[in-house]
Amino acid sequence: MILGKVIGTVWGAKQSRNLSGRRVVEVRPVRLKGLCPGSRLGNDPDDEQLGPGSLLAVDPLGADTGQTVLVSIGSRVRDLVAGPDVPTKHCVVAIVDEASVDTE
Amino acid sequence: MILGRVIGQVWATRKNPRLEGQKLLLVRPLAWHRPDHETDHLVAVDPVGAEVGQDVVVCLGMPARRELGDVRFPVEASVAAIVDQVEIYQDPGSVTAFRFARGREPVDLIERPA
Amino acid sequence: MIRARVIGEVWTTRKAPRFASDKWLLVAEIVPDRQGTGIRTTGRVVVATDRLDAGVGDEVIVSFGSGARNAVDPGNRDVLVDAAVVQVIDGTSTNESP
Repeated sequence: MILGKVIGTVWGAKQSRNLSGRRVVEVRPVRLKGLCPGSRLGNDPDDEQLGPGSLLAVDPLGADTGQTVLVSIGSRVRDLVAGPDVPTKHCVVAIVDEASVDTE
Repeated sequence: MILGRVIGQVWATRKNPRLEGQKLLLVRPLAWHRPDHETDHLVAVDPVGAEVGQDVVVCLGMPARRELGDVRFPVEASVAAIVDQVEIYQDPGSVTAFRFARGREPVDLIERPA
Repeated sequence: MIRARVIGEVWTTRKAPRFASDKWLLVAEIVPDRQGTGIRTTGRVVVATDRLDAGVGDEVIVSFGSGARNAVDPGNRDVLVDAAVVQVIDGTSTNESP
């Protein structure tokens, strides 16, 4: 699982049947490099705390843009969280209140 | 499995019900292990009781769920053990000699000649 | 499966119960170098369960996921292993190593 910030949602009329009705969010993974020990990742991390890439995840919890989420990766977790027919490998499994970064 | 350092903890109120009561640790891998996405961290469930600053072995995939006692846990990383010591055998002339990056060495690292 | 070299060992006492008897090796992935005459490391380092008594410096094959479990105890889904040494390499026809 990885931490990331929801930067928006994605939608479209043409989609796989098994994706219909699913909320899809775009997530930028958090980058710890450069964070000072003792810092906190709150509900809306700064852009400097984010890495360069992004990923798309199915979000059954309804995370809002700006929130930090825990994204689980893999087909088995997808089966459990979203359903076995859903065409994704990334699922939001928690909306993070706070994460501590206590040591380098 | 991978080697990592516990650098923090994660708290969440809104979460998948099966994550209720699970301790989530923020772990920084000590060596590259080809993650699905290029990130410098991962979050692992901790059934062992690791603390910030300790090195751990993190198990990935199906065994990470089995370790927790229920394959229906929606996680793919869990702490399998707390590391006492890492022993590396160095053969300086070898093209395959390995060194941890600076700042990424295990807390208790012993280097021996091969 | 990947080719890897055993570079060390990880010692633990506080393990999750079902990992208790495992011997854990630190292995570094190796691939043929650009000339195809030797080998080089990729920088990828993982911890692998070893039931074959591989030694430090040995070149080995490491399997992941269900393949790793099949190597350790086929059919037993209660065995906890996500990476395992499945062969100690004595020779290859791709280059001189080991």
